[in-house]
Amino acid sequence: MKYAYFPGCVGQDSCAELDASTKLIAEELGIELVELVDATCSGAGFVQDVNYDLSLVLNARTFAMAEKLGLDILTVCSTCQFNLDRANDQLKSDPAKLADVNGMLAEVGLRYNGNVEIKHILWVLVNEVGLASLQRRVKVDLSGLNIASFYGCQLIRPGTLHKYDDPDRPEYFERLIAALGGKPVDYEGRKKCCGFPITFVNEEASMTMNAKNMVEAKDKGADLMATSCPLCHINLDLYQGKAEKTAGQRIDLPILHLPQLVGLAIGISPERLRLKRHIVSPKAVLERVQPKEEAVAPPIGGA
Amino acid sequence: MAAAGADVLVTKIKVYRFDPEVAKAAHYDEWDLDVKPGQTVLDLLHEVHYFHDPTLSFRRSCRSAICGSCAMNINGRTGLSCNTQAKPLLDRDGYLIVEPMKNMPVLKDLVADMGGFWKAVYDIDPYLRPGADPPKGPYVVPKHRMDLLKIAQDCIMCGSCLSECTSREANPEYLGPAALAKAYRFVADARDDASVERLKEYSQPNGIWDCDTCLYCNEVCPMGVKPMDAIMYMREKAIEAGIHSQGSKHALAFYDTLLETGKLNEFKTAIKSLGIPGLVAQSPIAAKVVLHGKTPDLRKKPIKGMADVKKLAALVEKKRKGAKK
Repeated sequence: MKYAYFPGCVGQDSCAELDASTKLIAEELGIELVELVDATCSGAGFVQDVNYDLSLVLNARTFAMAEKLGLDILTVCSTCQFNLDRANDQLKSDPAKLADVNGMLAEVGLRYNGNVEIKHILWVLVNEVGLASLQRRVKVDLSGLNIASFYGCQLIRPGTLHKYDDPDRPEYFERLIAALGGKPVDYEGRKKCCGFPITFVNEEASMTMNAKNMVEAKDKGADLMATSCPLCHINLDLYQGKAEKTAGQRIDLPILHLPQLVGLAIGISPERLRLKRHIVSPKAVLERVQPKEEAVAPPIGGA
Repeated sequence: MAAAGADVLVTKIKVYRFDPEVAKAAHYDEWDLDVKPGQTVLDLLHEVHYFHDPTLSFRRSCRSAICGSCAMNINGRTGLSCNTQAKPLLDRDGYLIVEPMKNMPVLKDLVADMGGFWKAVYDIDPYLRPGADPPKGPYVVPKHRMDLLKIAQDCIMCGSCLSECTSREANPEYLGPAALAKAYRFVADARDDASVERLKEYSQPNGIWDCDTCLYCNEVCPMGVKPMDAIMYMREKAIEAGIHSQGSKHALAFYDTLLETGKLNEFKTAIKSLGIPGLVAQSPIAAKVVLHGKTPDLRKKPIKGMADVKKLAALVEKKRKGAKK
């Protein structure tokens, strides 16, 4: 398993723990990552708002770099996934557009032939690493924890673009949580919007949705939430205090990045996964988890 | 009732009931029905209405997915009951639950009050504003301008998109996807000469910049209309026309950092987007960021291929200017 890794901007900046934990679990699980260090931002929808044509050309440049490596692209962000997928879909289905874009790429010595696929790490974990294989690697007993997923809109919709999950009944995340030993929380909000894209435009509306989803998850018993999108993470974690004010109630729900949850389950330490960087501390919840009984004891004199 | 055969499935259909003249609270009623392959949810509702309970209320007219009357929430997704087959849903979920549309008050049973929907449609001024008298003969519109309308012209005003809109759910003042797709219909129309004025109106709070890009509207539209794409198109046109709003300011701040380094600079984007008063208001958030060591990099280094990025940006700009001429 080898991928051209697209870390995304936020995943290496304010959510740098996402990039760190992705690299740790990839190493453990045998996913070889060739980082696309020279790739631009996917545009995240905002660049598209200003100049769609430029976002298309820059994303084609990224695809061309991956194609040169002979690799598909791996993302760890629902927003990157959608914006890259949307561009890729257009280039693959519109030969005239592809030719036009290639005309520009030629000026910088690149060409895209439409042979790259873009996959989110959630899909790769379920379809390629495999749930049975993941289950065998679990070293920490998460069975006492109710874990809510948070997909991020753009990982499941539109169903016509993403071919893996059913947009009405997404289950990849739930299957992953179950394989890791946790108990998935069934709640509607997991498919909805965190509010982040409009936090700077209409904070009240953004916090209303943010709070509603988290309160619903808490009401359904969630101890912990994991998300496949760092932008959702910003709203869910960093803005949770504001969401609490909007909801008029305490929420106190720790939010992990998906690779952090996987890392915890397969025995990577919370320090290495950089869990301390989260605003809502997962410490109290994680004190409830223990190493699995059947796990081999560490050798005497050091662990 | 016919006996269940190989292709006939006896199942329960659970339907939302509400009659303000009888009770304040809603409840659900259930009926056993034979579901045959090919039957739609509307067929089943008719069966209930004809043979079990004539008081069940729902809207329907054409039964051909063109009048837009029968949108409702079926197993958690809003769509037309006349083009939603029951059996595939039963096979997937093992149940059938029919409820009225969301984000609208309920008048009775499955009949939602679409007053708010229509108000938003009227608010965008859904009439052509030509700059001159109409031509003597037909309007001649170039093909590339007609093609623009494809993503919005098939709207049948059923309300499915508004029912699922997450931004509308959080903010009832938001115009919503159907009205904005209708707005786009005029902004992109070659015969309309008021697109800049329109974009100014739509850039006000609760307009195009309040869409959270959750993609529900594109997903559920039974006609393949893409309201979110229409909204994003209008954002781009509003920026092109130099119309200022908090939304355009944020998008431009993001965009500018991309052109500096090839990547998003979170720090600079926040400063430019919020301005000093906004930053002061956000100081509790900023304090949390600093305390947890999450401060984004202010002086982000450009990517190695930045010269190429600038070259591509110049090429795109040249094309755009050429297209405008």
